[in-house]
Order: sequence, then structure tokens, then C-alpha cells
Amino acid sequence: MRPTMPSGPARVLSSLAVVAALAALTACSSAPAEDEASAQEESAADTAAEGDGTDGARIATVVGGGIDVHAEPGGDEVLHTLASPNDFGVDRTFLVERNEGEWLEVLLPVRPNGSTGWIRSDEVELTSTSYRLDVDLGDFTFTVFDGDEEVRAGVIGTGEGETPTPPGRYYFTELLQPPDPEGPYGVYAFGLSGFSETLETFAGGPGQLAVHGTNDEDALGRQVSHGCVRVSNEDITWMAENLPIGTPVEISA
Amino acid sequence: MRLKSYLLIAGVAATALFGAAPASADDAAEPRPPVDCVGEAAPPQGGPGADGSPCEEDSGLTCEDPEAAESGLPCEDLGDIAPPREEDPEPAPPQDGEETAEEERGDQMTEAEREAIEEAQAPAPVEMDPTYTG
Repeated sequence: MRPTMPSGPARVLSSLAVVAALAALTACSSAPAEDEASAQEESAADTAAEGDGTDGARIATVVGGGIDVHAEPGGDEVLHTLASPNDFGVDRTFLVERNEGEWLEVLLPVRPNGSTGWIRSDEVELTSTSYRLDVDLGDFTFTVFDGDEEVRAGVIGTGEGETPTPPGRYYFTELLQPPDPEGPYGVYAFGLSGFSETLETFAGGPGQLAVHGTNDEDALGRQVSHGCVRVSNEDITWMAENLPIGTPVEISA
Repeated sequence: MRLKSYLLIAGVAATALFGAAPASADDAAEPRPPVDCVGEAAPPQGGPGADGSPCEEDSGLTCEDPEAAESGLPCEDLGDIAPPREEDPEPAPPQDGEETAEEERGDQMTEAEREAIEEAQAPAPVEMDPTYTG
């Protein structure tokens, strides 16, 4: 009667053939999974970078005469219809917080501070900037970063008492040059997308915040304003020559 | 005798399995396909390239060398081309209007779109009295 099980050496060879087959199958199946995982990580990193601005910010500028801001991407509910140019004659601009292809979630220059909405990407032109402005209300300082590099820093004046400067995330909406460079706004003024939380109106305007120069640089380093961030004329001139509309501004307490 | 059978089976299995994983294959050890011809599949010996006709589109092969195409010379040594790597195809560059995986997900821009975005420049100031809170 013939034995059913192979003898010693033959058994070893059979086992080796099976092991080789299993190893080949494992190697082939692992590569696509690794590629998919790395692609997902890259996607998450890109999305996060759009939101926090640390890897550069996207700026959306309206190309038409106005734009509808929707509550949801592709939704019918329109939260706001914003004209372009804005009240200062500057093309309407937004800071992009999230990019979903056909739709962009943007920071809005409306009350309450920090409002966001969705706009169609084909209604705007996208640009980018690696600059961002960090304002530290507690230390009375500002720092301008170009990517991770600190490129400018200085002293600020902040809102006083009942007209504090509200912390938050904002962006530059326009750059004005006051006719009187020796006035209270100094030589330049960058409007912000945020508003005073205690003043509904001011100087005929809606209580909009700004970063601007000053005619009283001795007052810097203290709480002196009605909510705006004051910097020296030298610093605001540097900003006006380097920072684009849409530059993210982070104001921290 | 039985040992010989097992040896033969193991060798055939190893050849079939490892021969189908060109990622681990050494290019130096295998003949490289001619640079003038690219294709998605290797035709069998005696296939479309062997009868002197130029590479046919229906064979999945193109002759990038116009002289070779006009001369009617076959795409040579096609039988030496390694089988396609199904598990790791070369990604095609994104085209306008082409729906990429990123566009399907809608959660990020393609690399081409990111590179096409211009850097914003410092603005021209508008001469106007501000109405900010000051």
C-alpha cells in the first residue's frame, strides 16, 4: 500500500512552495493599502492647511458685481448678498477657510465676528499669501510671519475699557490712505473683517475694526483705542508695502 | 521520482508567482523595452509587430518614432517587454475637465490648480477718510 503522506524532503519542499506563495500574495496586497493611506494623510494635511493658514492662506476675490453667500455648499439658502466693490470701492475679498472644489467656505466681513459662509469657486479668483499677522493684546505686540519666518514685529495700542479689541480670526479687507497723514489713523489703515462688540457705529461707519497708524506713538503699548489696533506709522507703512488684502490676522488675548 | 515531481511543482509555482511581481524584478537582469515604443500590454510572439506592419492602435502600442512608423518596421522585441504592473499603474497627469479622484471627493485642489494660484500682491491704497473705530 502506498503511503498517502510525502516523505521528509518532499514534505519540506511542499511547505516551502506554500510559504513562497503566501509571501508573494502578501507583498502584492500591501502596496495599494499603503498608497491609499498616504493619499488620505496628504488630503487631510492639505485641508487642514487651508483652514489654519500656517502653510499659507487662500484669498478669494469676487470677479463679478456681487456674490451670494450660502449657508451650505450647494444649498439654496442665501445668508448674504455682498456687493463688489465694497463700500470703500475695493474688490470684495474673502479669506478661504475650506476648499470643497466647486464651493469655498470663507470668513465673512459681517457681524457677528467669525461668521462664515459658502461661495461658488467659479465666482471668485483665487490668490495666495504666506503672510499672516499675529496680534497679542496681552503683550501689546504684533508679529508678521512669512510662512514660519518672523519678518516684522512691533508695539501696538489696543482697545480701552468699554471698547476693547475683540480677540478672533480676521483678515484685511481694504487699504486706505487717509488724506491727513497726521490724523488719528496715521498714514495708512487696513480695514479688518471684524467689528467692535460694543460699538454699533463709529465716525459714520458700522464700528469696523482696523489696523492703522497713529499720530500719538507715545500711546502705543497701552489700551488707548476704541477697538482698533494701532501701530507706528513706520510699521503700518511696511505693512502697506508688503501685505496683501486678505492677509489673515489672528488677535489673541 | 516523487521528489522530482515536487521540485518541478515548486519551481513552476515560484516562477509564476514571482514572475508576476515585476516591482521586485531587477531591470538590469531583464531586457528593457525599446524607448520608441510604449504600450500597455505586451503582444504575444508573432503578434501585430511581427509581420512588418507598424504598431497598431488596437494592439495598445504606439510607435513614437515617426521613422519607425513610416518605415513599417515592427516594434521590435515586444515580446521582451515585461507584463503590465496592474497593481501600480503610472498616474496620468490631470487634464482640464478630467475628473480626478480629488475632484470626485471635492475636498482639495489638484496639484496643478495649487501651482496655478498666484501670490497676492500688496494693494494700491485708496485715498479716503476711514470710518473705523480708531
